[in-house]
Amino acid sequence: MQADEKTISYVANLAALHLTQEEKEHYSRDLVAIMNYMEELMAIDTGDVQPMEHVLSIRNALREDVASNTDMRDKLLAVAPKTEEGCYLVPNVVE
Amino acid sequence: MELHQMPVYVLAEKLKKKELGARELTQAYLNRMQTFQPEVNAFITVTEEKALAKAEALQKMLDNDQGGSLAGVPMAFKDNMCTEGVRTTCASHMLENFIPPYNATVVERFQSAGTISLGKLNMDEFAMGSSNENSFFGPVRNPWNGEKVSGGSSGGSAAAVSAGLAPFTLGSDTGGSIRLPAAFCGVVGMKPTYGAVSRFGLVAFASSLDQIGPLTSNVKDCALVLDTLMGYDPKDSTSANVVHEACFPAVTQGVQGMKIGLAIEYFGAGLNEEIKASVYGAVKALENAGAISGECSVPATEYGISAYYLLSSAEASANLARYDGIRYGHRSEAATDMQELYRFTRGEGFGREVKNRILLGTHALSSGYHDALYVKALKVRRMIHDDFAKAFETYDILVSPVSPTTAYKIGEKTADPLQMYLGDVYTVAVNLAGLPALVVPCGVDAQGMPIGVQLIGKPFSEKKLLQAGYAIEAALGQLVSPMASQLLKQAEGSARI
Amino acid sequence: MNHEIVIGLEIHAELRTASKVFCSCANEFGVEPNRRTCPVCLGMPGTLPVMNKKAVSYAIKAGLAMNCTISSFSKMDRKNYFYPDMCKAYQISQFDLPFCRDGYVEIEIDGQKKRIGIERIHLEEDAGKLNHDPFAQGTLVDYNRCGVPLIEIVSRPDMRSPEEAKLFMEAVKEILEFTGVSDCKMQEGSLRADVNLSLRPYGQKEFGTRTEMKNLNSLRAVLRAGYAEAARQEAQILAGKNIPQETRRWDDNKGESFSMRSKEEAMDYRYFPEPDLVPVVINDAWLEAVRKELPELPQARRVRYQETLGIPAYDATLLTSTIQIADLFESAADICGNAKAASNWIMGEILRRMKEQEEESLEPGISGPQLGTIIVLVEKGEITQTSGKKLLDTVIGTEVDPNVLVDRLNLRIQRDEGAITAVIAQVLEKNPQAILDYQAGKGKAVGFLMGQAMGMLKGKGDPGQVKAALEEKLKAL
Ligand SMILES: [Mg+2]
Ligand SMILES: [Zn+2]
Repeated sequence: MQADEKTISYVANLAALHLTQEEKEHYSRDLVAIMNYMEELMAIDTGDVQPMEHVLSIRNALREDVASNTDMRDKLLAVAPKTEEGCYLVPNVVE
Repeated sequence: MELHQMPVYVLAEKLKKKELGARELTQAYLNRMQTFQPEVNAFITVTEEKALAKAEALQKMLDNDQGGSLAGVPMAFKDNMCTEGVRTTCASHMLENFIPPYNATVVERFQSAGTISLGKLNMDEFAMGSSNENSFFGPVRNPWNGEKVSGGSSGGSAAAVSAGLAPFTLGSDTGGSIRLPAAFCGVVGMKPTYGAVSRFGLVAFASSLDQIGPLTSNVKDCALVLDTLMGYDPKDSTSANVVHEACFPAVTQGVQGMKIGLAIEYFGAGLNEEIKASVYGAVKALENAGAISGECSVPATEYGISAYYLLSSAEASANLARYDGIRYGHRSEAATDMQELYRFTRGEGFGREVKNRILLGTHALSSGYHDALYVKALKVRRMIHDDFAKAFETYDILVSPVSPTTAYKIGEKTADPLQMYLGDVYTVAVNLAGLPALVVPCGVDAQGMPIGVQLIGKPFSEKKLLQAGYAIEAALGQLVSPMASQLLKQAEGSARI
Repeated sequence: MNHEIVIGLEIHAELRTASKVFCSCANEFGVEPNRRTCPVCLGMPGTLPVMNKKAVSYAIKAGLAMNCTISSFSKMDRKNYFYPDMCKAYQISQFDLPFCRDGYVEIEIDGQKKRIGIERIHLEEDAGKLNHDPFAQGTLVDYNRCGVPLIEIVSRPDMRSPEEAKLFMEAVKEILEFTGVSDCKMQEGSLRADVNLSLRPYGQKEFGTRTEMKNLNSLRAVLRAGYAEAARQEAQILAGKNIPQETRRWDDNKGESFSMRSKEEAMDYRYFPEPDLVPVVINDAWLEAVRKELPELPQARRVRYQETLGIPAYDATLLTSTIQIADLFESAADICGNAKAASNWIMGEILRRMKEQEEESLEPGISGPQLGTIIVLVEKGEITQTSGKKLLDTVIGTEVDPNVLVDRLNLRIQRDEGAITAVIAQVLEKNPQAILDYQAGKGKAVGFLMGQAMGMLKGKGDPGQVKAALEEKLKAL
């Protein structure tokens, strides 16, 4: 892969990660080494093998539509860094 | 025998028979912690007061012949299992002060069983690591040699048991995170079948691979703890709705006629000779006890590292996206707008290796690479799964080393993530295939560091793995770390029965 | 327009379940901020989703009602992007295996029926709400809506005018309401649409470059935004400019739209299968159970009302405005055996009373048997029309049998000849002038005297009988 800085910047942006210039450089180095190692995957003939996202054979793990109104708001808000008027506070979101 | 050297099943018995008090036992562990915790750094949080209060309450129940199966037994949770009212950090600056308002299902299960939590155990940040050096709270030191790593990511869980700081602990295993530290610290560790243990309240690293398991000083304890741990949980859609037969009563049933497979891929180049010899020694022990061994092959496991690091990082990149400084956890003070709040919070809150995995995983899922990396890895995963299934048509258990080397020096591999990843070569395939695997100590190397053997089974064959593990332990003996052999001076309150 | 307009719609509808889609928080609108949140819908560390079975059944139901094929095997996926209204920074949605695909909905335009194709219907979770408080140092986030089940209905680009888009949206709304899958309260945001629109020269097969207009909250907005966007695009084309593929936001107050992001900036959502959930297999038994719950849809009912009950088209449309009204009509018509009368009573009396109510409700407050009974009483001449309305007022909101009430309120028509004769005698005695008028040939006098007589009979007299008796008496004078 090209783990050049442009790729790192693109990916860091998708992941909403702030990276310093120095960080960009070393992640770029690390990722190049890792991706080079992973080149081995390209050589495997996976033919018509179906992707396996889960080993489980469980299907339909469903719950009944029952509402349980345990109001935990205050307990939950207490964990938040910034709140106001029962809401979570974030910087102005410009739409 | 010292209290801290007693097996869990003995402690539970003695507590029930009132030959031992819950408070006395808890205090004995807390006393040891005073001396040894600063040396090993196994705990992130020690909940001394809560533990003593709980011991008091449980003693009252024990006095009335009440309490669960493990009433009064101290233990500790890896710090990625949510504990209501006790901070759960995942060894990350991001969650340094996070106190969950809810419990993980496993925490509830052990509370019902009557255990006493001593605190929360050190780990690699968000369980990403193989040496426990990626902790915001500093590395865990190996109780066998303080200059060496404990293994990771459940380093605190393994070291605490190894150092005699807890009778048993819980860890989590995504790619070897229970088994590797168990081997490095000379304790018993089990990664159960995917779906056997609830993941609710386990802070997710890679959802399709994560599984909680026990770390104990001996195989019988492992079985006993597993019997409390396993079970269906409607709060976890990936939890298997099956009835688990009790393991503990069946541990000593022997291995007569059991078919043991040695996969050639696990004994190739790169494996330390001492470890190879030691693992063969364990195989010999099984044969002596009546098992039959033979060679087999699981060729696709050769690609395990690549597939594992792509898939686990891909899932992690989404699982860790929720840490944004809005609802809980660290929030950057420097941010002036929404984009900065995200980017700075995450940039400041996550450590180096976590960022590395997020970048790798985001890349693997991103447009243009999704099929070549993520989907390809999913296909390799199926191949690995099928290879194991084929081997298990012939064999009951596969035997392998846990790691190519024994515990290495702290700092030795930190500069090179790839070298660190390659240390997981024998463990990751088990997670990709969702299989159970048990690690049992089987010797020490020339430097006196423990060696473990890995027993891999078919889905839900934990009982059989424990029977084989017990046979090895019976033949080769338990390992006791120098730190566990070290007693406190009388003045420090060492208790003896 | 010199160009043909091509429109496709993506409609998001909140499902009317009791609880959210992945946790047991109540699915309620209008509650204090964050009172309907829990660790699961807040995506707190370690928490896991568990899928609401009813939400799946509702998605299937919507699919069946829109003639879709229901997938026997489906799964959920993660759609990754950062936005403060979304707790996990991914939305659990469906990517390649939605519950429903390849359906259609019929609309009627200029008297012609037209099928609008449905590409897919998938299930996903709604996000929270951002409130811009001028007094707060930022934006306030309320996650009550976070995790409310949504279906996204994706149409094919089969509409050729904003009018068709509006009709399609109406048809979908009606189906969702009739099936009970969604309450479709557009003002509460429980039904919203994205409009994909492009232009092409008439006769050209290939589509032009489309733009996507996000989050239109009313039928009127769909119509206005559609026309405005078509006009904007045509102006661009006529000016020789390209239409860039982009996402735009409609400002309903200003009546114009603004570019949000171009194709180049398009989000890289990194979809992948949700590992915290397992696949959903919909077997025949489940499918049939849902199919059994499907009510007859409004379009079919309108046809039946016209063809077999003889109801005019306009009336049939009014009677199918909601399933409550349609069901009331059918039940009342069935009881009284007179569909025309049932229709008249509902359109004249019930709908008016519902409109006058202070609190908006879909419930007419009266059952089919109750209304049917009142109609029977009137039609049989047991009570007068006036008494019927009076009876209706008393019955609404209760479960009382009108038959019982008729006697309790003493509403039955007065047929006692003696009593009528006595009343007429009194009326004539009190109104000598009217008699003179009658004798002078002024027809109005009879009406006046009738009114007096009926008044004295408290509206219970049989008008025919009273009139006959009155005229007889007048002639005999
Ligand atoms: Mg959508
Ligand atoms: Zn909730």
